[in-house]
Amino acid sequence: MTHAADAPILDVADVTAGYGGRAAIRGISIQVYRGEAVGIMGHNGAGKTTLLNSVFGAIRPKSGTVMFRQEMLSPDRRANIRKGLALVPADSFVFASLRVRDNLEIARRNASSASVADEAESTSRELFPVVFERLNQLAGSLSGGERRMLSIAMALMWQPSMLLLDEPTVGLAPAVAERVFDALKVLMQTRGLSILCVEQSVHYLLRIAERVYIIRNGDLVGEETAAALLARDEYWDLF
Amino acid sequence: MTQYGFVLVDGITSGATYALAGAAFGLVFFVTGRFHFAFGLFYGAAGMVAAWSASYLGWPTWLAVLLGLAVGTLGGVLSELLVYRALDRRSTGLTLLGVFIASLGLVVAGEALMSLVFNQEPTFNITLVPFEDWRIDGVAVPYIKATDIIVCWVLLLALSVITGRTHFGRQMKAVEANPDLSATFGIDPKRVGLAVFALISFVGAVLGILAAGTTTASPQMGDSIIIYAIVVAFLGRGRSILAIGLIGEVLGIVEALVGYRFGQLPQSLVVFVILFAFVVGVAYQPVIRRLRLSSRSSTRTAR
Repeated sequence: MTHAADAPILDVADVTAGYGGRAAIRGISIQVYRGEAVGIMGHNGAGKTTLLNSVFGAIRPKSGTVMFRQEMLSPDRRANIRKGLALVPADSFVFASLRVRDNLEIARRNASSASVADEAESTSRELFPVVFERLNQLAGSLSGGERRMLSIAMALMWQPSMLLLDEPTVGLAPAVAERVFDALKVLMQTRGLSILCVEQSVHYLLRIAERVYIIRNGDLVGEETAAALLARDEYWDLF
Repeated sequence: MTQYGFVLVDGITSGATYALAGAAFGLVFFVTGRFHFAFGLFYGAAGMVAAWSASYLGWPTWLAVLLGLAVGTLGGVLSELLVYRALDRRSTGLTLLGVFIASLGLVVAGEALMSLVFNQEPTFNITLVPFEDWRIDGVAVPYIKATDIIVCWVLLLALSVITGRTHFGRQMKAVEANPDLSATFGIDPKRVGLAVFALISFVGAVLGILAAGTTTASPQMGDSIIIYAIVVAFLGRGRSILAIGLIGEVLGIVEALVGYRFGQLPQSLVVFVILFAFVVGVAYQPVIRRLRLSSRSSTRTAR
């Protein structure tokens, strides 16, 4: 797919960010276009989560800019949610001590109107029916896959334009992971949702991603198309 | 029997106060992670200011109560804004201890300030309700005690509705469970924390004013309530507000009965005995579990 004529929905330019005095990522520049899924790959500690957190506003980049729909993003998560971003973290992604219903209600408050939330809820109900069968259960009592589906349903509740996913298949059975990625594909096709996804499993990532950025030790070391990755026998030399 | 009736009324009154203080302390501790020891200071400040403005300045009761509520609520909110948050920014990883020490400092400084402002040994009263009794089966129930019980339980019910049935309640539970995830879903943990401080400081101020209407108000009047609040909060952790209410009532009634049967010294020890038993229970839970398991397995082997 070529995007030369379009402006990217997400434009990360030369971002350096980290924790304390240490830079976990250095000078990273990436773009994501509307309706596109882009993967981020790299070994543990490469800086993938830091990149997602910098985009979402959970940490303030030391330098560089993050533009979303031609607007500069600030390190203010609530403001970024209102602009149409949503993040599903890698772990602790639901409120385990709250009921499923309460988890969804918390997310629902971010929708611009009740009708937006209702529409999002009905989409999620179709994609993840099992979650909506357990509304009165504590989220902590759900299985790993159900919790992951709940977290994505929560993130979709305000109909974001872009979903930031951090390792969505960790701890999931293969069949459940495939169901999650199939649901994401449906959302991209029907709603034009853009996705930036950190994922270790190339197999799952390539179900939705057209391009993959590779990060090594905090530096962006390459960009591969899905076709090029599929043609490879081994992936680990990339990292 | 009538004597036991009086004791029971005393116990229920104290228990309602302990319950509400415990529920408030528990909210602020578990939602914000602040060991807000100065809860007792602002309880005392509200009572003192209300009693002082009513008895010394001669203000009407309603105005004195309003001033007391404002002072108690504002004091709690300002302690979070100006003291605890400043510590948070400076002492990463030591916040709990830092807040506890700062809170103790606030209590010492605040009580000294009140003693200075209101003279050396200040004691004031506020008349909230007439000094009359209801008679129930020969047991006299003073209006002020009935008022205490009613106000405390109304506030407990209100807290129960707020925490269990409102969006703010959900936000509080979300921040308590995971502040960072809360921010990911658009909740501002700091804003929620401040609202919790305002809520519990208001509750503390109400309790302080009720206490000033029951006994004489003094700058140190909040020193003992905080101990009860801590005990009830920890005994009630993870339980509903209404369950915390019952825990407070049981504590109040047991304490009153022990006082009646064995005198004042054992009465003052009740809360410490309960706290000690709770701490020992928590600390030795793994040991007790292991002992149970090993006794079960040895029974099986014997069979």
